[in-house]
Amino acid sequence: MSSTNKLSDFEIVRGYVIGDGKDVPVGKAPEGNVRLEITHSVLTGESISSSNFKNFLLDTKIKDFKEKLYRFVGTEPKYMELILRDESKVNEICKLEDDEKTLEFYEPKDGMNIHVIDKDPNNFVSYLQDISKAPKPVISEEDYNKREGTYKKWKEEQLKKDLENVNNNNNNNNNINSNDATDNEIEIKVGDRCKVVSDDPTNYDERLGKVQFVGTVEFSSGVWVGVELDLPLGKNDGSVKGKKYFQCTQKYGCFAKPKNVLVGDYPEEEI
Amino acid sequence: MGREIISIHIGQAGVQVGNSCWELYCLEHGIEQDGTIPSDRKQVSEANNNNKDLSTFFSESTNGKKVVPRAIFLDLEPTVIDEIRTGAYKNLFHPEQLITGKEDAANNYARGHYTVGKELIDVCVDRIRRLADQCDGLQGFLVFHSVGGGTGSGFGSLLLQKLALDYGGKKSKLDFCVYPSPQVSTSVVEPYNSVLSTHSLLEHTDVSFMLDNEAIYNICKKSLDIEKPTYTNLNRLIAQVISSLTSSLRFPGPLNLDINDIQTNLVPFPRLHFVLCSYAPVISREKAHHESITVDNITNAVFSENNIMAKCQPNLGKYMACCLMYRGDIVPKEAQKAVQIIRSEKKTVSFVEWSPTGFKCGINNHAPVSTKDSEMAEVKKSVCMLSNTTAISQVFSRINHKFDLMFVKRAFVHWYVGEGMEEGEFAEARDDLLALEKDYESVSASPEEQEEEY
Repeated sequence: MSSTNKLSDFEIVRGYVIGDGKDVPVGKAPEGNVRLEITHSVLTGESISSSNFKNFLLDTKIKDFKEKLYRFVGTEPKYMELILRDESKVNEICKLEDDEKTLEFYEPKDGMNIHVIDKDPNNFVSYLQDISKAPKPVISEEDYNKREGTYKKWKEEQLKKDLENVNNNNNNNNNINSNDATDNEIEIKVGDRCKVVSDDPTNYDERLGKVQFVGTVEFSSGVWVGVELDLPLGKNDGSVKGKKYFQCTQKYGCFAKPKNVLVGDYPEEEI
Repeated sequence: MGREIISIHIGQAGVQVGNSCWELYCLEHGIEQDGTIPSDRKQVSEANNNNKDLSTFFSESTNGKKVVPRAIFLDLEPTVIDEIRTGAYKNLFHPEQLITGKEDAANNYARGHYTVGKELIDVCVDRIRRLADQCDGLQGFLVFHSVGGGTGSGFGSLLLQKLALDYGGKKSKLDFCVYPSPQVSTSVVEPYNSVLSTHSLLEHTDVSFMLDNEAIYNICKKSLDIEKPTYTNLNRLIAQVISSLTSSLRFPGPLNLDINDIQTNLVPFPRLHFVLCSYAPVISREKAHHESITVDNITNAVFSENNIMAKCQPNLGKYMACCLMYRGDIVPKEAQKAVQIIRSEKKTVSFVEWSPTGFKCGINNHAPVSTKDSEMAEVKKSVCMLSNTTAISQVFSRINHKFDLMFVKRAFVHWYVGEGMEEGEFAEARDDLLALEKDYESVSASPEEQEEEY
């Protein structure tokens, strides 16, 4: 580690994760316990990525040990065959066959592996793992609509608020000639000069025009702003999907979200 | 005024991740295993202002000789925490911070939540209260646990409920949770524990960071070139991610993101708060040529499916929000440029139409200091990405499917009912999670996001 400045960031992170190699890779169980990795013929299979270590008291009788394992793996003790294997999870050391012996009798060491072989003739655990044939549960549209606090309910609330904002603003704008409105969304009104910008940061096109419509529409949800552009850079003539919101020459009309419409004292563009 | 944060480590997984985290924090702040800071190191960190924000995560002991983590370790059985009590860091913690019971949760949510957990909850709440009383302006809690076991899921959700009751909505609760892996089950009742626990998380946490061991194992193997990753390796990688995520809370910097920024930027709607994390420079050895780790490289890497700490396919979902937390020698302009490249070139990174901010970047310039006797070298550039994407519903969908298959047969339900739980709680939790799936579906199915303009 003396020439640390020569190491790449990648090597440094890797070096940290690996450590100095001196530590016990699985940690150490306290006095009187042993730390074993539990694998199971159905649940974990032969996968080596489980890292499913648990501490067990060495003076546990095998029959009690099986009861404990039952709560983890779901295989009934009478259908369990237990094999003690070394850290590699490949080499078998012995079978834990005698229910009356203690765990200690079989001399397990920290980091070793207990492999549970499920001999259940009904393959119950195996059945519970296979979701391929089971129908995927879903909540019905009806039940979902009945629930409180869902995203759908929230979204509907938001839309209602948006709409109220626009209505309020229209009213405000009729009453007061305010220029202290700071929120862009709030001050858009029909007749304003404006600039339409894009969400795409690489798109620097600035299209100028005049606001001809503000409100909700049938082609999408939320509030949209209809703009008659100065140049034919739009998509329509003020109508979308057969519904007319305002009238202008074909290609001069466009609808954008309020956040993409900036109103201001923009001069009219001419070709 | 302090902006202190208390970490709570629950159950085997939470405690073991906690060990790795505090080990790394200590290295980064130049703190010895017993909590002391050698005076020469103190001078260095005072000179570069490095430990100015140390007090968010550490308190000073009454005699001023050492610092103590603002942390608490909880487990229903003693052996995992006994390792701390006898290990290298035994003097870092005050004995009152390490709380254990006598009887384990036997992998059963109901034992963790009701019978066994009930006996320990009051002392835990009390000890947390004492830590909170030492703070000038407690910012919130980081909670670490798994959802598949008994203690992490059952006791974890019980404690989160209590915290919600005692501290209200004023203190943030961020949650690092280990979710079951898709291929490998560690236990047969994992789907039950996970669903029951998530039902509670939905209500009681503000942000949940999703981790799964299989995904992290694969990152160690494929991206870090570790032939046979051990579980210590896994925990150390998790620690790197969490360190990166919390660096802006622990080290000062003008472009830091604090808990509040993370929360408001990532979570548009309270229920949808399950966040994916990824981290770079963990990018496979071939790609990691000595000089070529650039801001562009690492930014690109965190968007790769292979680097995500929970198994799912982000390209099948839509992003609601995304935070990039850079650390080290990063120029803001470079970060902005890298993000712009992602936005314009990566077709797979698609956002929902209403996403207000899209990307949020934070930069913390304080890379960990390497002092002369600290073995740790400095990572010059790193980034941690937090993303809120509808793809996360893949994780829930898998678990809900397994849950249902078991619950139809009422398999093992008697273990839970035997601990005083009502069967109705199963159905209630299941319905809540199915509604969550539907929530994500509604987000990504909004028709209007196809078109920016008409």
